[in-house]
Amino acid sequence: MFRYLLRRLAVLPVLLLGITAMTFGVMRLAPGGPVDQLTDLNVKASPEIRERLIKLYGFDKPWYQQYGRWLSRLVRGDLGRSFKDDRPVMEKIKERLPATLLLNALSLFLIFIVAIPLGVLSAVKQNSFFDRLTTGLVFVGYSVPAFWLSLLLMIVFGLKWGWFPISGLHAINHDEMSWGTQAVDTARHLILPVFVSAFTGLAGLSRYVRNGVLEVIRQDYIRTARAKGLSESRVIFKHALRNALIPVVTLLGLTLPDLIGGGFLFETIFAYPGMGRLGFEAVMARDYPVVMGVGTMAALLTMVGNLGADFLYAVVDPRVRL
Amino acid sequence: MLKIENLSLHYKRDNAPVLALRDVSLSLEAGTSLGVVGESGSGKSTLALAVLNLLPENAHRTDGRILFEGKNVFDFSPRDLRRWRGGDVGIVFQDPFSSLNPVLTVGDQVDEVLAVHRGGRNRSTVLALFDEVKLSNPQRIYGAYPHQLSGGQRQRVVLAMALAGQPKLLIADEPTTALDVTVQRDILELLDGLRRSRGMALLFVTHNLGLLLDRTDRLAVMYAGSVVEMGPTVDLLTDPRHPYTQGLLSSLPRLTERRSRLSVLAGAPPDPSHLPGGCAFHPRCPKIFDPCSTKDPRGRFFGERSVACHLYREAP
Amino acid sequence: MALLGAGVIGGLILTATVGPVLMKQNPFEQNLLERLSPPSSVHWMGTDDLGRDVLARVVQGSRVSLTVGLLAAGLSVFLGTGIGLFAGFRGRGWDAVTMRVLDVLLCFPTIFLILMVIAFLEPSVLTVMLVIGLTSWMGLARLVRGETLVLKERDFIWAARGLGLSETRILLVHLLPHLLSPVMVAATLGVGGAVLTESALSFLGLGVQPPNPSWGSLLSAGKDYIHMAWWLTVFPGLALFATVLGFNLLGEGFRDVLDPRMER
Repeated sequence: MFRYLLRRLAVLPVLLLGITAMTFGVMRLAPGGPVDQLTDLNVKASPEIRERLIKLYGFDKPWYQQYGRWLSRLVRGDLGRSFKDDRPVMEKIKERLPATLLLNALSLFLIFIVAIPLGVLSAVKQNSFFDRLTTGLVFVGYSVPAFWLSLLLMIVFGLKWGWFPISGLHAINHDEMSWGTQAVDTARHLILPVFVSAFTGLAGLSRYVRNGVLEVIRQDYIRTARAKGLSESRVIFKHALRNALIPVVTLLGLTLPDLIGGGFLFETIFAYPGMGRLGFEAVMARDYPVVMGVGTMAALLTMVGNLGADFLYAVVDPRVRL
Repeated sequence: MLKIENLSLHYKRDNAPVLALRDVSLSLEAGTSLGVVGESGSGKSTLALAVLNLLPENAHRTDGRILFEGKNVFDFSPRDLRRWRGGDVGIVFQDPFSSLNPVLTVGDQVDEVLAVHRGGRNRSTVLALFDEVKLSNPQRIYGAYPHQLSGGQRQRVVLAMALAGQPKLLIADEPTTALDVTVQRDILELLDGLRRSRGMALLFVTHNLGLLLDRTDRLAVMYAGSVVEMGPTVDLLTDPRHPYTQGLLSSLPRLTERRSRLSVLAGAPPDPSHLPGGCAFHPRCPKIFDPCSTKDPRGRFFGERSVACHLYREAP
Repeated sequence: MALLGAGVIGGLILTATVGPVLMKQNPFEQNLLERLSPPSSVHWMGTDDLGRDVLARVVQGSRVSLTVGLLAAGLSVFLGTGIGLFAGFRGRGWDAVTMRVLDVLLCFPTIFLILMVIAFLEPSVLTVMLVIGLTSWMGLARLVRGETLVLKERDFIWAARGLGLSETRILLVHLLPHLLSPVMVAATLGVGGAVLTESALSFLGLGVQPPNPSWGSLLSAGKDYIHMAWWLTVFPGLALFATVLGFNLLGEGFRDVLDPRMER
């Protein structure tokens, strides 16, 4: 077990290097260079000012030096300062990160507790009405464009009926509310985005669980379990499920990047104060330090998530760790 | 103790139903052993599963019943079934690796049986069972996973699992086919010993006639879903009546004989979904005559033996 | 299931190719007098803020979305299969390197990557296609690589090698046909995904540029009038939904048919 984890951990620095290199590389691809972007908008910027800016940000140094400098700052937790408002990038990220994590965690949680039982039941009652119904629903969830669904829900629930607020995380007077009301307020704001996020993500997982269970059920050891006189629920839950969940765990690792990345779409539509939106706005505003910071942070989170999934995988499947 | 009466069963397939068992009748007394031998597709494994009522969904029983101590297995309520399986009857399947759940320890899997049939889990009982099946180092085996054990060890575990419920009847469906030859012999001897020490009835299903010859009290030969000959093993060995049985026995190589070529049975077993008319064996039978291609012979009893062949009429 | 999907796709292709020709209304023609009018017998899906007929724009948009979807998925399948085959067949060194690279790439939220790239280049139909194609091949590559690793140990491959066939020939003629089924499934589902991604990008203004109508941009424009012109949001979205659903049904249908393991 230990050795397995160690092996996975050893890959980390390589991954990190790759991630940072990619983010850096993409930045450099921007035609015209960052300084041009900055100064193009400001007609008054004379060549001298441009020179100074270049020197200040170190753009005159060769790219590997710039990369090196960036890396060394990164290790110390310094992601530079935003071009827009000159605040440290790390600080801006820290402000927004909890919100994103909250949204993703809730969404993931919801997906899991719904998709797994759904998948299992669909498999056990294969081809029944229930199975077909859930398959249909799940397909809808998979095919519907998330942002469209968000818009529709906003129209219906937010505007027409006014049940749920359609933007932000907290009401304006949030800070003045009591603890309980604060919680309710946050919850109300979260309902729509979490719902859309979960609904669209359900499909993949529940189909996967269903197929996994279907395949496991046909295995010999399930027949043995029945031959031992175990009750059907024991057979399904103890024997079948544990085996069927193994690939699900790997899927978890693969869904993570999509969740974290796709989050920015929801955050934009619902004006949710999350890291995704921060990144998006930064990209539009060409605020490079922030973009790089967010990109790296997202990738890092994913990596951590993947590691967690790997760890879970070893827990669930003894063949891997022994 | 166990009586199979006129059991007929087929599997539903999209194109044509596969006749797996045709009017099969067998009986097994407590404490005795019955070997069922036949080629692939003869229906022998189906028979084993039928006793447990563990057939796949597309299996349809058209006739017959299986009586255990007088009660029809097919009439069991789900609760009765669960008590039946693993309790009074234990089964050992062919491939020990795929029969064991890969993510649970083998000790856990054996203990499960105790939990269901003997009032609760009990590690020391499991260890005692491991001893009984001659597993060395039972403590270590208890916490091991299937992939950490050798083939022979796995099969012993499966055996322990089958015995855990203290069955009166043990069914072995090709228990040694997936094992090395040397291990095979050990397992067979183990089975023998266990049967005697526990006084169980044994139903041994295999395609390898040689294994059964000095180990079973009685023998049943199956072909294309029906029992073509049945009787005490000794009798069948010395005086086989059905042409198929004769063919099987003569094709066994013997150390004491000198032959340049092994005799074989010409042809191949028929496709269970397209059986030939009349006697299923007639296309391959060296003693074929008139009625064989049109009438299906029923098993006729002569004392303790039964033969399903037109050559043998009721003794006048 | 596959039939239903195929039916939808068939209808879609028909609409995309023939539709704009048959349409009476011009998708680009503005008629400010009739702006923001609800669905009527003249304008079946209403008009947008510049008086353009929504139905015509939706039909026109189908061309864009379909083209991008198909080509992007095509690129992605080509890359994924190629790289997967290569890594799987060569094994060891090449395989290890490829897998690490894949791991890194997979860590990145695809959308974000696309975002970054597009924001820095001129968004256009071509860039969108390229970027989507270049960022979605990883999953298929992994799958193909896995299958190749298993398949290359099979006897018929050894036989082919023994006969001295060139590697390319072995890959293309002998291995590839066995991979056809998962590739087809992935390809079909990939089109659905590509269409979704393209529409998301257009929605954010980073995809197809106006006045070229893409469903995503139609939705984006409609967003501003959400409270008074519901038809601007509902219809383009419906079209999107139907398209993606069609491809997904087709893909899953393929999977049910082609994947022998699932047979009862």
